[in-house]
Amino acid sequence: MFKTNPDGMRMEPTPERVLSVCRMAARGKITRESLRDALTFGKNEDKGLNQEVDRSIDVALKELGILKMKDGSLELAEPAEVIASARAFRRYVSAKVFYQKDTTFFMFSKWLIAQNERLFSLHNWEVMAKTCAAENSELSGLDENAVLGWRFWASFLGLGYLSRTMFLPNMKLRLQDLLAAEFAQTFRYGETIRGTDFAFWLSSRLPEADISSRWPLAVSAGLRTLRDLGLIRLETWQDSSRIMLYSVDGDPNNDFSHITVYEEVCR
Amino acid sequence: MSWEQYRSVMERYAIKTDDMATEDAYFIATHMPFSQLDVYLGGKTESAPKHMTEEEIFDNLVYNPRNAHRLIIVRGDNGTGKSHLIRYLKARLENSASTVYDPAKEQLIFLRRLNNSVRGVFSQLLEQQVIRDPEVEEKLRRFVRSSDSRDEASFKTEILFAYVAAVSNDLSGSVYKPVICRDIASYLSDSRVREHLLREDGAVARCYNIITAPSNQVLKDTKVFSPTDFLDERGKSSIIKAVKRQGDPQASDFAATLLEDDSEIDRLVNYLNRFTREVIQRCADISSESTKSVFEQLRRELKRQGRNLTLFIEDFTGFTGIDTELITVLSTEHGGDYSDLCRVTAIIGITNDYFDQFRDNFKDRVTHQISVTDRSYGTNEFLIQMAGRYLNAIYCDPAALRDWERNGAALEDLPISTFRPPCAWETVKIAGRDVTLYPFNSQALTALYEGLIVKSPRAFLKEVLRAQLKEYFDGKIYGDGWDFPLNPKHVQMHKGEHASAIDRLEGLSSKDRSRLKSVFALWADGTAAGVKEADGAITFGGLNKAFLDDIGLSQFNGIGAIVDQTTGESAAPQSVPAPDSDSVSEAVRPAEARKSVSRAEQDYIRFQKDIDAWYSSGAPLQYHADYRKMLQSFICGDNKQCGAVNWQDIGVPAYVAAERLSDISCFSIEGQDNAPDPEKVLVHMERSAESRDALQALIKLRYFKGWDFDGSAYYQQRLLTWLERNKAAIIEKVTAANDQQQLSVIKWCLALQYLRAMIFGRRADTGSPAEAVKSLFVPFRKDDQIRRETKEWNDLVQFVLSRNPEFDSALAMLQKSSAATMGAIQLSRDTSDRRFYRGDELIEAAEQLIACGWDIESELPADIPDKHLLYNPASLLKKLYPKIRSVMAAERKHADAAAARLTEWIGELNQENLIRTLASVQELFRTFNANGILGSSALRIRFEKPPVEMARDVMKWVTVLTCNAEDMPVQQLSAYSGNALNSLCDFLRDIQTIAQLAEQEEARAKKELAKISTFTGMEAISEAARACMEALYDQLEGMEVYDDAAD
Amino acid sequence: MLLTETIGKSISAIQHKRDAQEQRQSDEAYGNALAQLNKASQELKNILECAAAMKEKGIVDHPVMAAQLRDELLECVNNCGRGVSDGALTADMVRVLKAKGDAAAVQIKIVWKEASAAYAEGTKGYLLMIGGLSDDPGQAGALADNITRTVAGEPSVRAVKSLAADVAAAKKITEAFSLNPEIESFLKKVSVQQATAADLTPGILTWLQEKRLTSKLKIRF
Repeated sequence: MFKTNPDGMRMEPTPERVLSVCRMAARGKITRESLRDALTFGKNEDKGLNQEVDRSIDVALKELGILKMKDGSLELAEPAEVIASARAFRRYVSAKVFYQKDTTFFMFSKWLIAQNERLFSLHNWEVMAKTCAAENSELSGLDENAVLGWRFWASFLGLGYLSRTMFLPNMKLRLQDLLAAEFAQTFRYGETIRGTDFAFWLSSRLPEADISSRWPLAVSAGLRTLRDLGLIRLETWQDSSRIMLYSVDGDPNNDFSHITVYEEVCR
Repeated sequence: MSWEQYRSVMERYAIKTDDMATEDAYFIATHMPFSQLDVYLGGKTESAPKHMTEEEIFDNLVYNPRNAHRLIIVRGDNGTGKSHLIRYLKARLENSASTVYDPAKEQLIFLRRLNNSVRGVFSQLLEQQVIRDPEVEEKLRRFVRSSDSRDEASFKTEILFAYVAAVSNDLSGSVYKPVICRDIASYLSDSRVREHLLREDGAVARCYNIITAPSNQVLKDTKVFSPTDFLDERGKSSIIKAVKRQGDPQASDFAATLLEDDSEIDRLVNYLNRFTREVIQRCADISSESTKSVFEQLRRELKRQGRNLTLFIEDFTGFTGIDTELITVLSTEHGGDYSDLCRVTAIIGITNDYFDQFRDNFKDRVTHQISVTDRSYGTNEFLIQMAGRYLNAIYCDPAALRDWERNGAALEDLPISTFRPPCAWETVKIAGRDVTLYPFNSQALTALYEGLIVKSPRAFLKEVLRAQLKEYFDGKIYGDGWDFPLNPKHVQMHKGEHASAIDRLEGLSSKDRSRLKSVFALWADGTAAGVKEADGAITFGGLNKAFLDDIGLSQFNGIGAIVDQTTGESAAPQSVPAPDSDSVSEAVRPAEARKSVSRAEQDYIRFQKDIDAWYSSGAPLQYHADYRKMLQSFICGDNKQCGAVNWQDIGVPAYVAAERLSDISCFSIEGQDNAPDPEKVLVHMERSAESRDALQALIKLRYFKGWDFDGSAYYQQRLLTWLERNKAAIIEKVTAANDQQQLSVIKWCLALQYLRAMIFGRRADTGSPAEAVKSLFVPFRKDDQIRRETKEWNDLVQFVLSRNPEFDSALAMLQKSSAATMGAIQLSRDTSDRRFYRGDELIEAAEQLIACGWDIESELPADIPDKHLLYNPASLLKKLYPKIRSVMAAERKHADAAAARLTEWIGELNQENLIRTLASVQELFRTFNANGILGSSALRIRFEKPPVEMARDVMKWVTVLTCNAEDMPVQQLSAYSGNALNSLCDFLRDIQTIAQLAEQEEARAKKELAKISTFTGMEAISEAARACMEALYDQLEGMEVYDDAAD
Repeated sequence: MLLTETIGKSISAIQHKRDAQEQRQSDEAYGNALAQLNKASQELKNILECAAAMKEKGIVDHPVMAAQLRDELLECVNNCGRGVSDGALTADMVRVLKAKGDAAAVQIKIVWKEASAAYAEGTKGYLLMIGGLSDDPGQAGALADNITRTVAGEPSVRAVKSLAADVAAAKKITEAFSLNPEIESFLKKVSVQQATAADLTPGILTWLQEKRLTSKLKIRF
């Protein structure tokens, strides 16, 4: 899933499975075969099932680095806290994968976010894959299966939501993770800060989205959702530089000059 | 003029509230020319009509320079404007140049609709000096006076008696034979019948109204009697039956006739109605002849004066009683035999119903028919023109209008008001001059007219112009408490997102938000899109902001960006994504864009209206079942596609989510018309602007079969925000868990499987947690080889068997909820056993269970809801553990008893004693065998094993049965599961059997021994034999023999 | 009571019964053997006494038993006697004795047959010849029959004595009947059916007439 491009982005290693693999290994050193046994109760004559497990192991071991191989056995390479909950796992993975810009996962995510509303006219996964492949030479090998695999991690990491054969770009969860985990390192909760400062802070943490000019739909939608939930506040002050959001007819904020992030965002 | 004046002018003059006749100035100032009137020659309508304008009708029919005899009827349904036309024609004539109308040569009589009753008509006839005969005049005056002052009750009685008299005197036999007429008269006089007829809305009251017509009523119908006058309140014939039973013989006979057939009542009703005319005349004390002669006299008089008569009757309904006479006179052509009568041009307005009742010979007398239809007035241009005229009349100074009317009321001279709207506003041309439509515009007028139930000019005047203007003027007068504009049909803005944005505006009251939306829906283009025009004016939805300011909505400053027309700058160049025309027409006016609407579109429109009414008027949600299904599909996905919540990745097993949310009844929306069971609801949508938008998003998703539609970004936003707002609560409900409490469903299911295995005597490998899970992941069936010693255990087995479905369900939960499902949560129901499991969870659960000896009774929740998927395993465990306790107590007791018994036979239960006993058993069997005693071969075989081995087995059983303390019933269960008790008891039984056998054989041996006798006297016989042998020996020895060898 | 005890008692009772049964059987067999012995020895005794009687009565004039047989009989009797003394007499032993006894009986019988016939034959023949001529022919006939029967029958002391008595009686009768040698020779021929008409001498015819026997003799062709 997070291999350097080109990567088929197999769909079998879902977040649930990879996490389960990690948790199993966290119980103590375990060989690959024993791990496979433990996750299938030994009924692994089925080649497909074996592959499901092996691929999930590979994601945890080779792509995410949560596991390591030592003396023929798998064990945790990271503190156990990173797999203590789905949320911790998600934040760990986010902190890694969005900085690996040479992966198919990153490239496709970046491309998709940049499509904004055009995305909806690409009615299904296959069209999405083909269009991206046609428009990006380095992703020319992208196929439907890859996008089908991508979608599980994309929605898990908070880039958007799944609805039928469409991806709804809304980065509420991704943004919330950043605001909960890293915002307080630079700013204070409850304090109104300049939009430009916020944009500057965010830009280095959201490599998959181009927020140098008008913010893409995914980011804008995420921000609006956070606003509607009362976790942030967006304001537009006169004579202040404005951050332009993706314009949506009917929404109160198509730009903002100041933002307040509340501590509730951490819950 | 002030606003109060405008309002006053409107109510008193322009659009009167009580339908009293408008004064001429306003009548003419507001008159709308009829564009197309159908004119038929004669009284029939078989031939196609000619289409004429009102001018043409005036020129050809009213203006009668050739003095042709004319009896023109103007027909149309109520409110279509026929009396307006007549009034107009009259006014037109009056205001015509003297070459057209010369009062010296033409008597103009106009009988108005005002107070349309017989009394009213008579009053007008008197006023306008139609009646020349003093005697008749006196009678009519008397009638008018008396019907003013007469006591209502006695007048009504007089009316009834007039009917009775009319019936009694009917000798014509045309409907009923005279003898029956007498019976009818008797029937009508019966007190019960009389009382019913005299009731408040009965026949007599109707007739009374026709005659006197109280001022607030408009006479519409001249039928006095109806079937309800002869049936009781419930429509039954109790009165008739009562008369039949108790009335006088004649009344009773007639009552019997009425009961014979339902149609008899109708016959009676039609019969009596024929007498209305006569009754009225009787009450007015005028005879038919005298009535007729009145009008003839008028014509003769006028003829003598050298004048002609033009008679306008706005509404003929009030002439009941004298209508026949009047028609007869009016239809008599002058000249010839009637050369003493003047020419008459009669223009009479009648309803279509009334005309249909005309007898054919009357129809034949009609010279022309003018038919007023909706074609005459239904166009938008007509309405807007009409509105313009009325508005102008309202805004004009009344004096100016009256002056104009007095001076001939030429249209080109019509005063135009100086009213100035607050901004440039739509106007309409009247006689080439601009008249403002403010505060309306053509868009609003058309939309409001479309919303009328009855689409007629009268309704338009009253319910659109007057109603809206009243609110507008009130608002202007009082400055607050604005209700303008009214939106009776709840017409919605086409751009839902803007409506939604308005709903979210802070600083505006709910009423103002509603008004704003109504303005944009009715006056504007259905949106609130803000534009800054070239001249600097700000418009929203095409409406100047000044209008909003004027109507108390100045706080509104738009939603989103305002596009500068000149620079094109705004918050987003694509603030409204450039749609192609098709999608605009689709999104904006789906109903109007196509003539034939597809089923999907019909649904879509229905849903939209339903949702809008649900949110704006608090109406119940009609199609909630559809929305709930859409919501379910959105959240959970379906067999092929994932839903918006990635359940399994956030820690909720796919199977749990799929099962918990499978039943549509767990989705509810506030305001759905069937109340859901609150216990079952897992996803609840409250009524709010956000959820309104969320539902709109779902129906659009369904209609457009995807997210590719105008405004999808907005609607997604709203839908996802709703989801995020409610997600934590939904997850909590689905999992029945929260931060403080998690349900250990997997552990419970594992425990159930384990206990079931133990109860059934099946082996479960609990050597390690992993092995335990593996061995418990299969269904267990009872081992029929095993027999249990106690009734309690057998009952427990039956208990488990009777609950197999629950146990199997727990197993399914265990297997499927621990599987890591890829994709749609419904795929978790896959029954394959080759799956990727969350082994860590299972092993951890097994570890905990092993550590506590599979006894987790103390961990079970105290309160367990009934029939709850996630709690069911706990519920079952709660029932099971106490049973296990009591079973194990019984088993232990039984084991102890068995051991005690065994000790009696064997001595202290140890290896040595057992070996010894077993060896002796084998010896016993050997002895049996050696002595040909059958014994029991089965037993013998059982005890064939080397005693050492058998002793070891027995000791094992004993150890197993006594090792666990009594306060560890589950561990005991595990120990006892392998059936050690039964083995031990079998052993005991065998021992007992063996003992019995041994005793039996001992007894038998002794008995047989007793039977064995011994030989006596053997000694003596032996001695004798010995002596004999001796003698024989001697004898032989002494015997001579020969040597046979020599032979 | 412990099972071992119960079993012990049971086994003991069964054993006891079995022993008693065996003892009874043994006694029974011994009793039978004794009875058999009694019978066999009685038979043997009879044989021996018969042999002695034969010798004594002069029916035989030599020993009638072979030495070997006698020795075998002695051994058997000895065995049986010892068996009786030991209380261990068996049916087999008796059977052997009986077998030998039977053999002796056979031998004696053969001798008897021969000897008795020889002993009685002449007398019986003469008696037969003249029996009819005697004063009591019935008696003579019966006597002859008796003698015949006895000779044909089993040897026994009684048989021996009976034979001897009958032969003596027969002799008495025949001796009482005086006959000259010619008549005697003629009667002997008649007794053996060898007499012919040529033998009818006048003396014989006169004797016959005197004894009224002429009708008693038939001439055959």
